[in-house]
Amino acid sequence: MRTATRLVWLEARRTPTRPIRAAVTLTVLATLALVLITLLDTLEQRGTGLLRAVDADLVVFNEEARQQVLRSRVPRPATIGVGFVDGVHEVGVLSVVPSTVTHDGEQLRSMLVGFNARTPAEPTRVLEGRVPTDGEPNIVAVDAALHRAGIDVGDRIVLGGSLEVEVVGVVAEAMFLQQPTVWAPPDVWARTGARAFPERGYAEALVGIGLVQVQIGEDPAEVAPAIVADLREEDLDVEVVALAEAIRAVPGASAIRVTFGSLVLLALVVIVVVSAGLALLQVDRDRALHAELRALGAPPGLLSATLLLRLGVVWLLATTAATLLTASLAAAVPPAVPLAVRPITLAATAVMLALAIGVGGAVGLTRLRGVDPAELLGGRG
Amino acid sequence: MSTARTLAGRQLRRAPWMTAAIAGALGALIALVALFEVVGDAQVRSLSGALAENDADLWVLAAGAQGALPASRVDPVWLDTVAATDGVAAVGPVGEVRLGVRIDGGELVDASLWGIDPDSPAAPPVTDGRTVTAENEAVVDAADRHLGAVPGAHVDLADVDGRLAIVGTTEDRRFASIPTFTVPYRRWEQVIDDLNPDSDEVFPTALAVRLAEGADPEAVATAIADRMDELVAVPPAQLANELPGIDGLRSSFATAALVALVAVAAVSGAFTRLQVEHEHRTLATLRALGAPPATLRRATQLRIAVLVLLGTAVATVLVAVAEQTTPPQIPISLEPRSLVVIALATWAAAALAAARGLRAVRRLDPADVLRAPT
Repeated sequence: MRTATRLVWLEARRTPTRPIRAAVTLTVLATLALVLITLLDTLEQRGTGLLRAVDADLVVFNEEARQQVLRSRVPRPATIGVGFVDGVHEVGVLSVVPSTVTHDGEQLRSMLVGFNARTPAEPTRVLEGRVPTDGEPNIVAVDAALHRAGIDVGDRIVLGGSLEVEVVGVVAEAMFLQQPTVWAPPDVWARTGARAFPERGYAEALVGIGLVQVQIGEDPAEVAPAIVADLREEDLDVEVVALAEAIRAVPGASAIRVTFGSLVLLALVVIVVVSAGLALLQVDRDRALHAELRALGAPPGLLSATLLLRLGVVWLLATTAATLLTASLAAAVPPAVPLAVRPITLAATAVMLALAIGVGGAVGLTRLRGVDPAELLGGRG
Repeated sequence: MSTARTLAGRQLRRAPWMTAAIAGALGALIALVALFEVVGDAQVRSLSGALAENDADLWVLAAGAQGALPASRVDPVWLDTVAATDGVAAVGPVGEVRLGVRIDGGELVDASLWGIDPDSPAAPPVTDGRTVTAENEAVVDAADRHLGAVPGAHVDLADVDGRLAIVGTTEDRRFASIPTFTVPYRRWEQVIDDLNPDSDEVFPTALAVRLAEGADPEAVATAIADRMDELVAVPPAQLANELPGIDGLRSSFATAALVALVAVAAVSGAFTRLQVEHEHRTLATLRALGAPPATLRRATQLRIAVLVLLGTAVATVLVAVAEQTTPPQIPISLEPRSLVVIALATWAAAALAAARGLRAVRRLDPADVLRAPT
């Protein structure tokens, strides 16, 4: 390995532009992959952040809602009944209505979330201040997306153009269907919702989805059918699914995942082809040199290690440069463009690039094994 | 030129796998850029077609809804006031709701149910079959014909009692990327009433306005908003652009297409440069044999043009395959103009990169190159 490293180092000193040029090409492709994956990730986070913000194992919908959070209206007796099912640790209710927030004369779209405090429906990450508790009048918490838009703890905002409330906390970004969220106690939610949607009437208690935490050691997959069966005995038809399944059922989430996912896959295929092309060009270009080294007694493993090391250096350069480029792009684009880089996305992309370049390198290695010292030294040297 | 053509042809034939790999990579990248454009358009059309293609001159919504249709409720008492506004020729209520349906007893699917009277300014034109004449009839967007939503089929409403007969289809009038049905407004009111048994109030989602001939849409919109603080009037196409999520989706696809375009140009340029360098020795040999530099330049540029053409052909096939395999609800169709623009950008980048690499060939002394170690 030391000899391979030295060979790569000497080559880099002799022709420094060579690895840089290959790295530039892969940087562009890596940036493309990273931008695509980040767009996909951000669109998904902004579409489903609400459900990711809570700590629940199961989600209860009324049967007619077909796993749609906005449409679900689990009746109060059902959410109470869930609490008595064997294996259930705790249950909370969360309701969502589209609304608006007016702050300093500027009106923004938002989703108004009514939730039961101190239950699995409460957002888990509070960045500043606190979340409202049930029964507190005219206070709310906003998510980080609204905080970035200029709403701070202590500010007064108007919900749905009609109800003035005070902001008491900021929770981590929890956007839903691409809209920021305002977290309100049940009464604030009910009053605002009744004004905005007169056909629904005033709901005395939250009616939306039930969020369930199962007891430690219990399997959510076994508790879910038990909830359905218990409530059916009370003539209450509900559908209970795992939180991950409820996230997948958010409108548009699967369409975006399939569409962007296919395009990301196509981009990765291109990266594999380009990496293979680069590796083959490199092997072809250095064919005579490799033949000489083989004739001088260099084992094939050394040449393979040199090629892989070279590709590794290119991967490192390309990944670093792509990360910087994408982060700069994310900082430069307007907030409406869903491009928010997360460390997990960077790590996943780096691994995928390594795999793609590795596959490309494997093609190069196959070609490298075919180098015949005698033929090359005799024929072209 | 014939010498250059012969040289280019032989170079391509000498390394068929390399030619295929480069054309394949270029084709995949060109297809990627083209797909971002067409898939993005198709997604946006599927989300907002019912509004984007609507024939009404203005839609009146609740000002507080901020353009979000599901959040808009317009008090029916405003209908007459809007109708009495100068420049308004006709006005009709429009309702929208999501609910579950079964088409001809098939699987339960989410659908967007619109309440629009056939004579309303917002009524979608029927392209196959006829318009509705009875309360239990509906027209459906043709994008979901694969689900059996065609004239003659029946639709059972899952959340309320009721059955609709499909009597006609519309084109490009889908909404929220789900099957989109239109029934008479009165029928839609009944559905909302049944869905909300605790309340008797049913408010339309919006009002659709047809303007009198010669009326200025902007002036009428301002007059409506001035008379009724709670309302806002906008052209439906503008409303479609401002729907929640549309902006983010559009900008995502545009950003991705732009980065992909830069990538295709960079990759084609880099590969060309690498190949030209790779062939330095061959080019020097040809110079030593008396080949003029101009001929060598033409041969290389010709080869690049052929590779880009091959790549474009691969891209066309890939996009055609995508057209055939994508579900009918995302009706993508290739824009030949886009493909030509992307191919030209690819070719320009490659030709420039080759020109830079070939500049060295003009200056080189063949003897030096051939003497130099490989």
